[in-house]
Amino acid sequence: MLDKKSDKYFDERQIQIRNQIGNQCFFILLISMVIVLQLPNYGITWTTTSAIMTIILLLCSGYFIARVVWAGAYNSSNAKASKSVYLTFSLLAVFMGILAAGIKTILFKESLNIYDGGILRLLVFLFIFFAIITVSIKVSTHKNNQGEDQ
Amino acid sequence: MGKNLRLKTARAAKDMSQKELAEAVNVTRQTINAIENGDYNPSIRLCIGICKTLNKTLDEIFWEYDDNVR
Repeated sequence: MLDKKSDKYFDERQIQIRNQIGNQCFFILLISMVIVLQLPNYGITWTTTSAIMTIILLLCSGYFIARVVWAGAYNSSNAKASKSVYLTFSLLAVFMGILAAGIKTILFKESLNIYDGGILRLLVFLFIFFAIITVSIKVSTHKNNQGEDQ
Repeated sequence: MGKNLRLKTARAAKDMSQKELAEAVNVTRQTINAIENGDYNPSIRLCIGICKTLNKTLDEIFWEYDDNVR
């Protein structure tokens, strides 16, 4: 009965909510970008295009995650599948870290220093990334479990 | 869409919690809660899954009669 990959991870209500919020985010993103890209034509330049694009993307993705988590549609109805996704993300991050270190040391013949600013930034980024994922999963799980059960 | 009291009654008659029913039909407990409270309109596929789990027909659980489901 489950023919789509996403169906294995989210139930139909979650898919519906995610689609609805995703559509909202898409239109907010589209309208914001059009406005921001047109502003310089009317003589309004207050920051660089790349900076404002980054801010818009961050705001839209933040809005999407917040709404999805609040609706209890962030993590799967299937706890096993949810854990496997989390494990895949973790392994991917570790693999990318090793790959980056390998490229730096083997290809570019540079010494790998743990106190190097780039590696520290990567570690901080990964820490924040996993912290956001973990908090989102916890909040979404809590939202999935709350409510009347009679 | 009003509360689906017949689903709640049928589930209670089978001595199942929302969580157990949710796991049986492979959805979140919040989805079952939303269906019972009339906040979510389930697909026919989910309706059939719920009916099969509760050994009821679609009419018995989901058909809207004036007396039970408003």
